[in-house]
Amino acid sequence: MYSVEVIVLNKEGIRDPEGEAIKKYMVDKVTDKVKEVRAGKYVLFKIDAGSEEEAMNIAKKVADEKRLYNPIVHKVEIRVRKDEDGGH
Amino acid sequence: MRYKDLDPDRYSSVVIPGGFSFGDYLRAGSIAASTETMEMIKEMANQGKTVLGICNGFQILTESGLLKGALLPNLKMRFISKWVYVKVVRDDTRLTKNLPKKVLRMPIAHAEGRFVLEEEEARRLMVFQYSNEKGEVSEDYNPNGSVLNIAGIANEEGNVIGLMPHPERASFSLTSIDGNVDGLLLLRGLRW
Amino acid sequence: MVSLSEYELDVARKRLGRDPSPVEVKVIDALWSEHCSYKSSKIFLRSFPSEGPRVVMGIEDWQDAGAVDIGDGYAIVLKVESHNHPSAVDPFNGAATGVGGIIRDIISKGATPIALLDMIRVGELKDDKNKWLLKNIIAGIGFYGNSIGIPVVGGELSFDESFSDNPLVDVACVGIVKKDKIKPSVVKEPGLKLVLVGLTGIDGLGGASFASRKLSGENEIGAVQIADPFAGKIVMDVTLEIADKVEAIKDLGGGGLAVAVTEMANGLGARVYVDKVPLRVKDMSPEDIIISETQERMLFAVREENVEYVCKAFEYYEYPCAVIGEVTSDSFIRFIYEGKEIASLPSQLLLSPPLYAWPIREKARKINVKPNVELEQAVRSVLAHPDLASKEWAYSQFDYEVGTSTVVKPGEADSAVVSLPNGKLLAIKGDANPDLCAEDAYECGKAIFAEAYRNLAVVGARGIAAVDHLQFGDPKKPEIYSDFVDAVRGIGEAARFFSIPIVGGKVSFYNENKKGVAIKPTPLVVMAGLVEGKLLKPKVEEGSLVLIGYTRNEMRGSLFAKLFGPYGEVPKARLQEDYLASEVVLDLINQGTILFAKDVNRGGLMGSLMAILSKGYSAKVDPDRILGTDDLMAKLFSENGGRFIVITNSPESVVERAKRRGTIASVIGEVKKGNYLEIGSWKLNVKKEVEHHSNYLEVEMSD
Repeated sequence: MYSVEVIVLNKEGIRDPEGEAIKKYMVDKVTDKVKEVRAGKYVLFKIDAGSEEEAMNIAKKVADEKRLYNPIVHKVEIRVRKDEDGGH
Repeated sequence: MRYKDLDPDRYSSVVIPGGFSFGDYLRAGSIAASTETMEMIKEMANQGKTVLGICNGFQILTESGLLKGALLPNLKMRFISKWVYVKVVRDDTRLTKNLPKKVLRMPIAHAEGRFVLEEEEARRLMVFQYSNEKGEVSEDYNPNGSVLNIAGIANEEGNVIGLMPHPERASFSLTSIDGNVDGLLLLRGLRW
Repeated sequence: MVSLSEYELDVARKRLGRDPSPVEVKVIDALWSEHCSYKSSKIFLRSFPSEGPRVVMGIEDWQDAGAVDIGDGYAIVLKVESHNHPSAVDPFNGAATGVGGIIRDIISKGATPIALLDMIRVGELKDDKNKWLLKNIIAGIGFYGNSIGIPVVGGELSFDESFSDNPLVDVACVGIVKKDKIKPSVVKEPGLKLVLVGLTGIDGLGGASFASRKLSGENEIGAVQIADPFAGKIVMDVTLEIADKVEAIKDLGGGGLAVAVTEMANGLGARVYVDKVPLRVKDMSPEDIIISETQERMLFAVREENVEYVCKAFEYYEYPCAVIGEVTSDSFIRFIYEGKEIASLPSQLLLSPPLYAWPIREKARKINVKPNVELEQAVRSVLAHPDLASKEWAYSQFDYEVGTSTVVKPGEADSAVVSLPNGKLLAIKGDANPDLCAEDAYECGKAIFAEAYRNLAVVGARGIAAVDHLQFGDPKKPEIYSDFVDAVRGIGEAARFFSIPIVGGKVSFYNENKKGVAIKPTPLVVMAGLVEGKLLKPKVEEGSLVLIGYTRNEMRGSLFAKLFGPYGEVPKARLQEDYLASEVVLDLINQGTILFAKDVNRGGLMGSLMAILSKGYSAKVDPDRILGTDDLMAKLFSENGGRFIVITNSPESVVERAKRRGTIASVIGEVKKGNYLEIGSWKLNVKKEVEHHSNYLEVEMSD
């Protein structure tokens, strides 16, 4: 079993009003060290696959075909790790 | 009133109305809950003044810890506008003390109204439950997946009250769905 | 990125007497874009009647929205706009920023927005892409409207293959303002300071020229604008707070600062110091700053002594506010950057692009024979059509009661009603009919105007003002331009007939799918009216069913013809019949003789009966009592105008009232509790149809 994390964020250069608001009204009241905040969407898949690559490809296929993100606005980051106990 | 201009000493009650504070970014009510104004409102609540939160106001009250529990996105994962019935199950709060009716019709309009809290405590604190017009509570009348059909709760003392339905939208017969003014009955409780 | 033609560049060169610099080309490109200049439509738009006793501010002189007097010192401001191209690329943000833009148009007049309408058209839902588009369009409208606290009180949602790839997202907004507080968008005197609020970024670069050409299907990132309703709320609240202290207000929309400054100067000149524009990102080039279409920005013309007051109000909410220049008397628009003049163009040149009347060619009309369809199949198919399904899935996502002034709510009647601060009731409705317009844009132009008028009558209102939105494919294609001209002629004719001024409008060309096939022509009319006597909140109850007006065998463009094959005549818009039938309905409402009224349009009589059947009632109809044609299919499914159905307990007085008004009404049947539809001796249990009606969208959209 693999855990595949799909993280969807607005592309560089595309505004993120939610991240901006969190920075301005929350983070900046605590510290001035944080230079940027971006908010996005996190989706976790538990995938029964034979290899990391296969798990990654399955997640990618779902994300692309079902429009988990809009390629025009979003960038997507996919991270895979093998689950310690649930594996084959 | 603008939130930065609150002078708590001048008022005996405060209503935090619905709306979208700070765009409801992050979680509904979360940014508003961290403002200095909410510190003042906490102080007012501690002095025993009445604090009422409607919709986003309820979300702010839970986010700021004035009320127990949390409000998560509706089970359907989308904003829902709808007229609902709620059953009043506590009469020891400022708002419900002298209420002549036990079932009220009011509209809801929210995306994050699924109330969650450990069941035993929720049962003790709940004031309003989504029901049918006879006051029967069942999953069929639960619009958002709240635990125990909870539409609103109060603190133990009954002076801090939060609810998702909008009583102010059921206070004028012209704009109310069937001419009822159940919401006004509720809001009259502010004159204590 | 520049969409100016060689010819246009040449015109610019000749008028300037020199070559424009690259920055100047971008400024000219923005101002001369189809989106901002109306160069392919303006000649014809001038034909609309825009004057009237109630008109406080019409469509002339570059105003953002028109205003009409509603008595007691108040005026309403009305505007419609589309965000079709951005919504095709990023439906959530495209639709949301469409709402933001229309709201800023209303506050530009100093008016408080009180209601929104959304008219949505997408391809059929069997295609996942269309589902994705619809889901995000509705979510985006809700996200912005709900957050900013303006109720979406009504709209339309319909489906047609021609909107795959190119959905239509039209939003309209109504605002209210004290008549003597209306703000112009243009200045009349030099010396005023130009004050810009909001940050400028690189989003929305070149949007105006993007909306003025076809979708390329490539990476359109430059045209994506991100919606920020929280910023929009600050802009709205503070603009209304300071409106008294400024001389002119303008929303920054298509073409960004270049267009806003030039249009605001309106023939005078302006000097803009580009370095003074507050930026979201560093290192923006001056030309990008000038044409960026970043949302949530406003431009004000302010007397020097009021500048501090204005900016302090924005700074209370930590919102950026800066003086970026001033209005000058020399009729030149100048942009200055790092002390150097990077553009200096005559206002007249920018405001008067070459106008076009493109060639027109009428489409060839095909004659077809009537399809042979069984009654049951016909009824079932029409009643199950998605256009007739309950739209609760969509409107329940809108906070349609925020502001506590929504009197007639979505799904309750043919138009929405909101209460105004002076106690009056305002009815509003938007109407379009792409299927009919595809057959005959001229009759269609008249028909949609008349339909809006009838829709208002149903709640007891008479139309007082309208705005239009004209959506077509490529205007350089003669058949498409012919539809455009015809639609303008039809709408203008109906507006003159009803004496309802057109106080504003928009045009959107180049609506095509990826294969270059144009959308069905979709002119749209939004009408506002006042309830001067009694209000009717239509309520289905048991009673007699009366049909007002003649039914005609004119089936072309109908839902029936769409499902079973086009045939027959195009319905003629007999405006006199629309007017007379509406007067009858208004009389009946004021007499208190009717419980329920509905306009007959989509799906014909059967389509209109759905509003009764879906409430748990049976309808029994005697087809022999339907007057005007002997053809059963036409009796049941014709969509010709001039008709209403009403439920009443005194049917004779309805018939009598119609005769007195110079038209006819016929008692065609009755309404009783139950779930049957009876047509003569034929009977159908409609339980399944009713369930489908209430659940269709919910089910389709949840998988």
